[in-house]
Amino acid sequence: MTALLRAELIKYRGLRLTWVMLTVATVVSGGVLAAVAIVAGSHGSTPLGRDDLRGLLAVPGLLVAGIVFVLAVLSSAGEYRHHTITASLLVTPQRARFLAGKYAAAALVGSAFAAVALVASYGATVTVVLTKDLPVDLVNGDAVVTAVGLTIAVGLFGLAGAALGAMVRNEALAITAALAWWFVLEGLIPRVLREPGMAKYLPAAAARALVQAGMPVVDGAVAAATGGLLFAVYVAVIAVPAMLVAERRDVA
Amino acid sequence: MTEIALRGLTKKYGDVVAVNDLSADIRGGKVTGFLGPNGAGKTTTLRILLGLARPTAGTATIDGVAYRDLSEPARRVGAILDAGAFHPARSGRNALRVLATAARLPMTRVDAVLDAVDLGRAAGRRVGGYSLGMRQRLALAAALLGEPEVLVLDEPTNGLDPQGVHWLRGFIRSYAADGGTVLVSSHLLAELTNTVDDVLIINRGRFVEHAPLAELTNATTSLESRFLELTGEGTPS
Repeated sequence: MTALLRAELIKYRGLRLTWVMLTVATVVSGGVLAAVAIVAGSHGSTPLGRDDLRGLLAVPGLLVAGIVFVLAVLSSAGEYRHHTITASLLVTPQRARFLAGKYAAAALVGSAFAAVALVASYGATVTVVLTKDLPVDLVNGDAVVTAVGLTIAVGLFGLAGAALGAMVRNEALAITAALAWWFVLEGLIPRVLREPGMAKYLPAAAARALVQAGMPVVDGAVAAATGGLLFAVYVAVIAVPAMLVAERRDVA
Repeated sequence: MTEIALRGLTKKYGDVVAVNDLSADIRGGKVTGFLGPNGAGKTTTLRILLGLARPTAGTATIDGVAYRDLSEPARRVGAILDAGAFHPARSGRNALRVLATAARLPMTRVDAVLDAVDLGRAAGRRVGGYSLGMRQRLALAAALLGEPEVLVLDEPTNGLDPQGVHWLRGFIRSYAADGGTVLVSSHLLAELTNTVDDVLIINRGRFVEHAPLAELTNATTSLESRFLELTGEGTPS
């Protein structure tokens, strides 16, 4: 299993796309945080307060998660697009093991992206706070909880991307399906079923709750721990069947 | 010496029967040419043998063990199925490092096989910039990573220049002379005549003939003539 994980990490490291996406995630995270911190208190926006570090760190969370999700889909479905799945399965014919290695690598890469993005975010925040002499507490226990939640969430997004890519085997279709769920279906389902109360338990809402860890729970959301648990279950609902299907499918 | 056994192998895709009750024993330490017209079921048979497709019925084993159940498959079997099967944005060395790592092989094997197929100087370049012949040699390097006992090669000379074909022929012969088992499919019948010990012919998924090359050909009958006669594809002019 360790060998499979290392092999998958070599795949990520060997592609320029990985480094491009990491750079984008880092620059955007730092840039967004700097922009938010700079404009806070002007143009009618609320000024930053003492406990706002946790909120600032959570801002680029879903963006980084999206980048990691796409990268993981490409890693997984790309095996079929480029026919590298043949060589991969010749070395590891036990497909569930192969996918387990892929899932672990995607989760690890996701968490690493989150960690790097958090460092960039924190660095940008510190720079603006010190430069503008803002009253934000830069050493805050709740912010650490936010960082941990975000790191776990982005890791789970990586795992979800790898699993969806393995299940669908088509990069564009997997990404389109995820976007359709995130922006359309998740909002429609509670309305169609006339169950508005269920919205906070759906996958995107659960993921958002986990990314907001360390912050006060708002109305219409579940607690971060509940959201994390729910999101993990949703990811498993894709990941486990993808393994079972892979065991039975022929590789063309 | 490692033997390959096909027993009642059948593969159906809906109503289409790609492989139909195929049985054969591939002798260890020999080079067996696997022949058949386009669509005869050769590649499907090889994919089943290598665990990439599930047979509808029957078994395909290597020393009595299905490929999926081999404990260290890369050390037992090397295969070329699709020479283009490399990520174009990866370097040749990176592609082999991935496979060597997953197979728990020493990294020294990567440079060894790259040198063996004369790709050492191009190893750092992206595979997307390789010619078809270079990709074919990279595929062969991947197959040789684990110093396997068995080679399964599907059209291995595709894209190779004459020097490459000559080198591959010599390599296959010396590989078998050292006890290795080779199952090679090819359309280049004249080329196979210089390489194989045995010939297994299938047509429309069914067994046609399996015999030593010397029994199928003689001074007046070439492998091509016998192949066309056995597969009912007409006789050469």
